[in-house]
Amino acid sequence: MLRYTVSRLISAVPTLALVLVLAFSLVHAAPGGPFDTERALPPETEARLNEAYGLDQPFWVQFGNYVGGLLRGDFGPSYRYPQSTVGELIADAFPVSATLGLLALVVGAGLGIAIGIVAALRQNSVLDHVLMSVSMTGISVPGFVIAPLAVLLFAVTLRWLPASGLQTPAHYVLPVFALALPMLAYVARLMRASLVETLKSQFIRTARSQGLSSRTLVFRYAMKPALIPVVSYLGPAIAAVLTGSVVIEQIFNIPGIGRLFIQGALNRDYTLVMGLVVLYSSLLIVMNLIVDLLYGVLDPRVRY
Amino acid sequence: MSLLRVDDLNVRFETDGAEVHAVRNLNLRLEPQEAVGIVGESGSGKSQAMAAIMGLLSENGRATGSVLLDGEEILNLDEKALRGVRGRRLSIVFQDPMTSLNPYLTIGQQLSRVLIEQRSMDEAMARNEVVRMLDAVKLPAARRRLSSYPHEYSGGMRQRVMIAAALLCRPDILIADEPTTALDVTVQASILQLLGELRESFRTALILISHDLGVVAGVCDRLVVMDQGRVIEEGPTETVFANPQTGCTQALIEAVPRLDRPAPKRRDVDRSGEPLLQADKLMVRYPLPRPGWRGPRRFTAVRGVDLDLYPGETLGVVGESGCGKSSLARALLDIGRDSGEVQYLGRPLSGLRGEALRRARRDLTFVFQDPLGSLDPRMTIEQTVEEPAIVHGLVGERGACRSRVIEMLERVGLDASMLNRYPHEFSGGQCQRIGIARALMTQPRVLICDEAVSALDVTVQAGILSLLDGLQRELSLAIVFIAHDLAVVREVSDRVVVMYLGRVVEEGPVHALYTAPRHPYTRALLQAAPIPDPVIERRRDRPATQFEIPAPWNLPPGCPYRQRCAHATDTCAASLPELHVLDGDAARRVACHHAETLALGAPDYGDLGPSGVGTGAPLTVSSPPE
Repeated sequence: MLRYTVSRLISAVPTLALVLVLAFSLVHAAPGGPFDTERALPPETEARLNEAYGLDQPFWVQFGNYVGGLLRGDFGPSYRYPQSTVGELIADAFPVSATLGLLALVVGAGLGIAIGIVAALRQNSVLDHVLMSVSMTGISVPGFVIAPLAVLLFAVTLRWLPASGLQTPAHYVLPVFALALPMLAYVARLMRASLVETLKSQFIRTARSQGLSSRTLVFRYAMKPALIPVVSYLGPAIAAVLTGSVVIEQIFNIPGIGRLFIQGALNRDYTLVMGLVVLYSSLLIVMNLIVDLLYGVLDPRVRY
Repeated sequence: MSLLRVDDLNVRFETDGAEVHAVRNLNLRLEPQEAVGIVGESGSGKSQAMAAIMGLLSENGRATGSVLLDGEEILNLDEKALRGVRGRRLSIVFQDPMTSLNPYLTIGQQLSRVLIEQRSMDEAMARNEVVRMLDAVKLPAARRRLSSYPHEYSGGMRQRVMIAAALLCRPDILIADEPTTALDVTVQASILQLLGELRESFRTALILISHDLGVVAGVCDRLVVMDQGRVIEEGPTETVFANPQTGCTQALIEAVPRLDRPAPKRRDVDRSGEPLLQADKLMVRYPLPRPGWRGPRRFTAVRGVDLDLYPGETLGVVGESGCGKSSLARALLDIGRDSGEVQYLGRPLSGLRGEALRRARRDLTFVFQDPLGSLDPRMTIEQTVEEPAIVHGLVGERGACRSRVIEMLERVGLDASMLNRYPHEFSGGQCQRIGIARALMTQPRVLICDEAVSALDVTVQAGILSLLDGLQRELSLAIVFIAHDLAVVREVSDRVVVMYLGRVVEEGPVHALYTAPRHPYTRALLQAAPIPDPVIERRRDRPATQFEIPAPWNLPPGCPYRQRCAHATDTCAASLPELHVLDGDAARRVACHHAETLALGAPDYGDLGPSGVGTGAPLTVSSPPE
């Protein structure tokens, strides 16, 4: 398992390198630059700025400098927020997004799995159909529709919850709900399908023939295999939810990674965008590795 | 009062609006400690009847009638009430021990769970009881193995575990649903023996379901024959075998090839000329499923096999599962070959390129084990059969060779009305015929049949075997016939090769090899094969094999068979026996140090011949066995 982990981490290096090259080229290929504003700067000022940040260098030299900095743990300076580095910006925003994301994960995965189990055990009942249609809605209606509607209902009309910001625990309810809903819906459907499938397998029939209780069948025998598809979905989903949602953070005015991303991209803040790309892709790689290692925990036949 | 009394049991399945009547008016009595065999071809309703009794029908199934267990109705009880019956009074062992055990829990966990729930034992007590039961089913080193997972066991050991699990709560009735069908013949023999012994020691009544008459012949007191959901015959085992009342039972009994009857006479094959296909030191290797830090990363499935195949000849290949039969078959077509050489008409296959290779492939064709799985479900029968002709450029477009397709279909006993239908509309036997028609489309000279009849019912199997025989005669085909069923192989082969762990251990003309085997393994295989005759089967002396096949990546030094061999000596541990021409018989080759000196005797087919029946003891052994 150690050997497997090490080799997977090593093989992540070329993946990351490729992501870096692609992202760097794309960011630089986008028209405009970090110092373009509505009122054009005097050319000599812009030239001095470009020189100061090394933007006058050839593309590959810039890329080399950036990667060199990364290797030293330096994400570089932000072009639009000269008072802070990209590292500091991420350090401020990431905990905000990650907290929201973790809460959404607990709610989404936890409730999703529970709903999936209930639906699977009551397969084709009215309850099953209701739960599954609600889930379908959760998947198909996008966050930028759900979130404003929730704000309208709970914050504006009913005045139960605050509409934006993150000052008190009550402020967390609506954004966490909005973030968790699609995950919850997706997990519930996955869980239902895989549990229904698992309960049809031969070894469950054997267990039934031995007179074991249905609680044992579901929780001791069928749960592990049924969780496997859920785990493979959750890996990348966790990486996504921890790094914040562009839409949700915008709507609830939350100073997280998602908002940073939007601003960075719009402002052509090259280093900021690159830093966030590195953060997201590393998280994704790590989460996928954890998922693969979890397969080994869930299924004893899988060995690394 | 009977222990189990089934009256008017009907099982129906609802599928897509249509109703399938799987079991029709079944009546059955089972007395305490009695063993009843239920036989019938696939789809005869025997398994569904048992599933209904246990309340294990799938959701679209409905059972009506009455099932009295000790006078109490148990049919269609609710799940809760059934829990008191299942496991405690009625237990079942399913066919496939690979999928019937929970792969996610250790053996100890899943077996003790039954005791914890059903007999309110605590964990420690349950574990001790599990160990006792695993000992009873003769699982070696039971306590140590509690923490293993099912996939770490061989098929035979898993089936022992399944039997142990079924007996944990000392049920009155044990139902065994095709318990040995997925197992090798040697393992099957030991499992059947075990079932017989356990029935005595646990005083359990047994219902043994099988399609194999040989399996039930030795074990069961009474026999029930089912066909299309109905019981068509019932009676004491001896009577049913000796004097079948219905044509269907008779056909079932007669369709089974029997080792104790003379084999059909084969034509003489001219082996003076050049062999058609020649394998030379063939090796096939696969990556190990779980390689360690150090040590080998691959294992060898076929270890240097030499073969000759002459025109018009059938070469049978037998051996237990995992012995490399299928890998060899593929390697003969230069698929997966690691080293060694296959020569076709004197030219190495690996040297052929382009058109020459295509020509060779046209001549060498394959028939697979799974009849339905080897046909493309989205292609019509016409498209399937004409496919090879199109691939090989014999015809330009689809539909251009319809008359030839029809000719092929007629040749395998089908007809033109099937052209536009799809594989799922046909039975297993028909699908296998379609597969053969496809293989014949390019006018091949060699047909490689890899377990081509193993998945079929005996009567269907008999039809395919006679079809192959007729085709061989008409088209002078050479056939490589791979199978695990020794009686079937004897039926069709001119020469037979016995494989063990990737090596050929014995090779010879079919008659000589079956009547006077010279390798202890060959004899053990023949000895283990059941004979569908209760009188003979009960009289046969069958040595129990304790040792199962070692993993092919973890072979002991010396002769790989020595741990299972009753005749092993120090020589066997010291060096690997070479496959050599037998002294005094140039047609036979054996890989045993003692082939010339051991007097193995003829296998005991129970025919009371004077040829030293059942005497497996060596006459001359240089040193005492280990």
